[in-house]
Amino acid sequence: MRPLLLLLLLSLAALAQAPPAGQPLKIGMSAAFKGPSRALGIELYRGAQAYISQLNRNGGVHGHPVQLVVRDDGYNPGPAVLNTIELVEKEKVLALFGYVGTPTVTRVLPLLKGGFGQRQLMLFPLTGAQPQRMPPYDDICFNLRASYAQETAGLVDHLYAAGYRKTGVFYQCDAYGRSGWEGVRRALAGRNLKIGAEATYRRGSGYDLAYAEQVKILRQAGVDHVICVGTYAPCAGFIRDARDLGWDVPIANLSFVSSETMLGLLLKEAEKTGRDYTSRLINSQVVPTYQDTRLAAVRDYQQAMQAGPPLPAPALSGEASPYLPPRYSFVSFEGYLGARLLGEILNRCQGSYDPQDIRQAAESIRNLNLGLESKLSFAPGQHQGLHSVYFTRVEGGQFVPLVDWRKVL
Amino acid sequence: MRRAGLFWQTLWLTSLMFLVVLSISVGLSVRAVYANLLSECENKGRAIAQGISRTSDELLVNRDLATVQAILDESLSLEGVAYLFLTDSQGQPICHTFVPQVPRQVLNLPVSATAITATRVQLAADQRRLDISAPIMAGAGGYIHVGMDLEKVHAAAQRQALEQGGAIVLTFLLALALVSLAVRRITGPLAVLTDCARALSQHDFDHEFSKSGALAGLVPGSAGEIATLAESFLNMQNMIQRSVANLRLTTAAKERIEGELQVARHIQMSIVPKKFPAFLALPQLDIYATLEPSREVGGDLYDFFQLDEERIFAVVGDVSGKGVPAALFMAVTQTLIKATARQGLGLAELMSRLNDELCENNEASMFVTLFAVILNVRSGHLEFSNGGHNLPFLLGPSQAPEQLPRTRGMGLGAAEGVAFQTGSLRMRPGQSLLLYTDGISEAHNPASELYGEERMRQFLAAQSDLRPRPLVENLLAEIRRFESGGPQADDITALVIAYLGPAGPVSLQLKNQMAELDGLAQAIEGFSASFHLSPSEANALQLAAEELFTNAVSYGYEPGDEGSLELILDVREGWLRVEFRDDARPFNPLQDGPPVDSQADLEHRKVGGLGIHLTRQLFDQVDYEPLQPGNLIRLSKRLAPA
Repeated sequence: MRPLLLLLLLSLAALAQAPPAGQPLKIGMSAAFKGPSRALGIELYRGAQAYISQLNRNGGVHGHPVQLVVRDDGYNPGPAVLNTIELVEKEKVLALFGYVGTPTVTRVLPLLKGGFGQRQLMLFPLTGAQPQRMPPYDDICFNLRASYAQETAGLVDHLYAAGYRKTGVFYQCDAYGRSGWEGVRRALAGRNLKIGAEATYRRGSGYDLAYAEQVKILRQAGVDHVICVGTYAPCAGFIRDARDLGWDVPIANLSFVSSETMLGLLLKEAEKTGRDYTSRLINSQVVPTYQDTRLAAVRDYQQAMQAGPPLPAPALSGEASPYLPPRYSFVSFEGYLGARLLGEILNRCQGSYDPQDIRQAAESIRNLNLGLESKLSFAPGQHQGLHSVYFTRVEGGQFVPLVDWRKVL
Repeated sequence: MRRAGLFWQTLWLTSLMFLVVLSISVGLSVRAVYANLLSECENKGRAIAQGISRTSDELLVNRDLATVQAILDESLSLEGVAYLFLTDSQGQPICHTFVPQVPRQVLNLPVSATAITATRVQLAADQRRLDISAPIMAGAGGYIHVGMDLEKVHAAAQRQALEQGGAIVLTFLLALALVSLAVRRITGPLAVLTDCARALSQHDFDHEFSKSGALAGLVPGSAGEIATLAESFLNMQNMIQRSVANLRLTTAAKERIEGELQVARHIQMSIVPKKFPAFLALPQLDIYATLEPSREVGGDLYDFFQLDEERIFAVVGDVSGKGVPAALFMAVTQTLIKATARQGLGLAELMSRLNDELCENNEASMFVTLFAVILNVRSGHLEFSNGGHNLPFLLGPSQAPEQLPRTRGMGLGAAEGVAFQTGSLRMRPGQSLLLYTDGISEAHNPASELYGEERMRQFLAAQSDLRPRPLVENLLAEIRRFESGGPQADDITALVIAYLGPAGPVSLQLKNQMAELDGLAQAIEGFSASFHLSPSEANALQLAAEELFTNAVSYGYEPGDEGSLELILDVREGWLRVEFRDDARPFNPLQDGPPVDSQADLEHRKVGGLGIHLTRQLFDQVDYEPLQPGNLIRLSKRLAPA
C-alpha cells in the first residue's frame, strides 16, 4: 500500500474518531475502591482527579473536559476484566488509566491486546510488576513509576551494603507478591544469595488477621531483615505481630503498600499498646516525598490537593467504615503525576483520540519536565516513564526521606 | 408377646438380610463412587498440569513469574485444585500458591521428565492431596505441580455414602413397613388359626373370631394353603359346634328323662309290696321278695297278697324288653293282676284272663312271662301256673332243690285265647319256694359265662334251711360275687315263700316296754283267728297274755333296765298251750301275789292279783318255774271241739 493512501485512510479514520466539541474525553479507571485495599484506588483517584479538575477548569483538552469513568474491582482480577470490557465497549473510553494492582492488570493485559478488535492502551497503572514492562504487553502499556524490580533491587542494595545477608520475604500470594518476590530473588542472585525464607498471605487478608505464623516462619529461619511485598493491611498486621512478638529486624515495604494508610494503622496500634511500631521501618517509594517542596511537582501537587478532591463514587457506597483520606499521600501524588502526564498526552493528540493516536502522542514525549528531579521521555519500545526509587522512614508520625540508613538498620 | 414367634422372627430375619444386602451394595457403590471421583480428580489434575506445562515453557522463556503466578492463581480457582506450584529444574519452587509457606511435604516429590506423575501427599491431618506433576520442556524448564484436594473427593464420597445411606435407611424403613405388612399378612392368618386352635383346644367353641368372621375372612383372601387350612378349621368348628349343640340338647333331654326316670323308679318300686314281714296274721307263712332293676326302671315284677283267710297269691313276672316301655307294661300287668286275682277265678282262668287283657291294645307287641302261685296256708296246698317263666325252685331241709314241673302256658300278651295249665303240690312245713326272674339265672361274669340254673341249684342246696330274707340276700350276694363288679345285665327279682306248717308254735319276742302291748294284742288276735279259737278262748288268751306281760314289766324290772320277754303260743291236740318267759327278778305270781279278794271293790284291788286270779280261772293248768335268771309260767287250756 502506498504511504499516501495509508495516510489518507488514517486521516479519515481519525476524523471519524474525533468527538464533537465540548464532549468529554472519557478515560476508564478500574481500581480497588472497596475492600481491604481500597486506599490504593481511592488515593490514586484523588490525586488524578485533583489534576483533572484543574485541567477541566482551565478548559480541558482541546475544549473537551476529561472525565474519569471509574469502576470498583476490589483488587480482584475477575471484576477487573469485566469492568474493562464494560468501560471499553459500553463507556467507549479512549484509554484505560490508573489501574491498581498486579493481579488485576496482569489479567487485563491480554484483553487489551486482542480482546476488542483494536489494541487498547493501559496508562500508568499502579503496579511495578513485570508483565506490562515486557513483551508482548509492553507496547500497549505506559508506565510512570519504577518497577518492583527496581524497588527491590534498591532495597537489597542498601541492606546488603549495611551487612544484611539473610533476606526474608513476606509477600502476597499472587502475581503482585510473586513479582516483588522475583525482584528480590534476582537482586539477591546478583550477589550470589538466595532468599533466606519466605512466608505468604492470601490476597484480601485484613489487618485484624493474625500474622504471627508468618512472623514465626521467618524468624525461625533466622532472617535478619524482611522485605514485604503486600498491601497496607496485611503488611501493617505483619509488622504489628512481629514487633508484638519482640522481633525487631528491619522491615521494608514497597511503594504499593500505600504507606500513609499503613502508617495510620500502625500509629493507631501504637496508641493502643504504647509500643513503637514505626522504627526500623523502610518504605520504598516511586515518587519523591510529597513534603519535599523544593520540587515544583510537589508544590503543584500540594496546591491541587488543597481543593480537597472528592472521593470516587463507588467508594461512597456500601462500605462499613468511612474512608478518611490523608491530606497527602505517595499514591495520590503518583495519581496526580499520572493525570498530568495523561493531560499532556491528550493534548498532543491532534483531535483524534484513537489508541494509536494516543500511543503516538505518548511516544512523542521527550524530556518532559513534570517538576521532578529527572525529566521524562517515552518512545516506541520505551514506555517506562520514571526510574527513580525513593526510600523513606517514619519520623514524627510521617514519612520522611531516608538519608541515613543507620537510623533504620 | 404371643406373636413373638413367627412374626418377629420373620421380620428380623428379613430386615437383617435386607440390611446386609443394602450395606454391601452401599459399600460397593461408595467404593465405586470414590474410585470414580478419584479417577476424575486425577484426570482433572493431569489435564491442568499438562495444560500449564504446555503454556509455561513459552512463559518461562519469554515472560516473568508474575504472569505465571497469575496463571497458577487462575487455575487455583478451579474446583478441586488445592495448590499449584512450579519448580525450577532443581526442584526449587519458584512460583506457588501456598499460604503461609511451601509445605516441606511437597518438596522433593518424585517427578519424571517424560511423564506425568501422581503422588499422594498428606499435608496435614485433614489435608490429603494428590500431587500431579508434569515436566516443562522435559524438566529443563522445571516441573509444574498441581495439588488436587482429596478431601473433597473423600467428602464427596462421604456425602455420597451419607446420601445413599440416608436413601437406604429410608428405603429400609419403607421396605420394613412393607415387609412388616407382608409378614403380618402371612403370619396374621396363622395367628388367627392359632387363636382358633387354642380356643378349640380350650373347648371355647364359640370363640369370637368366628363371630367377627376373622377366620372366614381368611378363606378367600389368603394363600392356597392357609385358605385350605382356614376352611378346614371352619368346617371342623362348624361340625364341633353342631355336635356340641346336639350334645347339649341330648344331655338336657337325658337329664330331664333321668329325672323323670327317678320318679318312675320311685313309682315302680312303690307298686311292688315292700313291707316285711308280711302276713303277720299268717304264722304258717314267711315271705320275702326283692326287685332290683338293671336300669332306673325295669320290666320285672312281683306281688303277693292274701286272697282269703287261707290262701295267699304270689306272682313273679318279667316283661320282655327293658327300660321305660317294659316298666309301663309291668305297671299295667301288675295292676291287672291285682284287679283280676281277687275276682275268685281259678289260677288257669286268671292267667288266661290276664293274657287276654294284656293282648288288648298291645300295639307294642310286648309280653310278660309270669309264674303265679296260690298257697293254702292251712293245708300247704300249692297251686301254680306258668306263663313262659323260669321254673321256681322248691327247697326244703334234707332235700335237694328241685324245680317245679312244667305246665302248659306261654308269655302273656303275645297271643289271645291261650289256655294255661295249672299244676299243684302239697308243701310240707319247712319247705320254701323260690320264684325268680332270669336276671339271676342268666347273670354273667366278665368272662361272659352264664350263672345258669345248675350253679343256682348248687348254691341253693346249701341254703335250704334258711328263712326267706337271708336266703334272698345270700342269693343276691352270690350273684354279685359272680358278676365280679360287672354291670347287672338284667332286672333281678327273687321271691321266697316259706311254708312253716299249720301247727307250728308261735313265738313273740317282746321288750319290757308297755308300748309292746298293741303288737302283742294284734299278734294274739291273728293267732286266734288262724287257729280258729272261739271268741271266749281268744279272750282268755288275750287276757292272760296281757296280764302276764304287764305284771312282769311293771314289777319284774328296775327302772331303766332292759329286758326281753317271750310269749310262745301253740295249739296241739285240742289244747292251747302258752309259755311266758322273762329275765326279770324271780317272782312267782302264784305264790308271792296277794290273795285275791274277789269280792272287793274292783277299784281297790291290786292290779296283779285279779289278773292272775282270772288267768287261773280261765286256764285249766297254770305252773310257775324259776329260771336262772328269769321266770317261766306255763298255761294250758283244753279247747272246745271245733
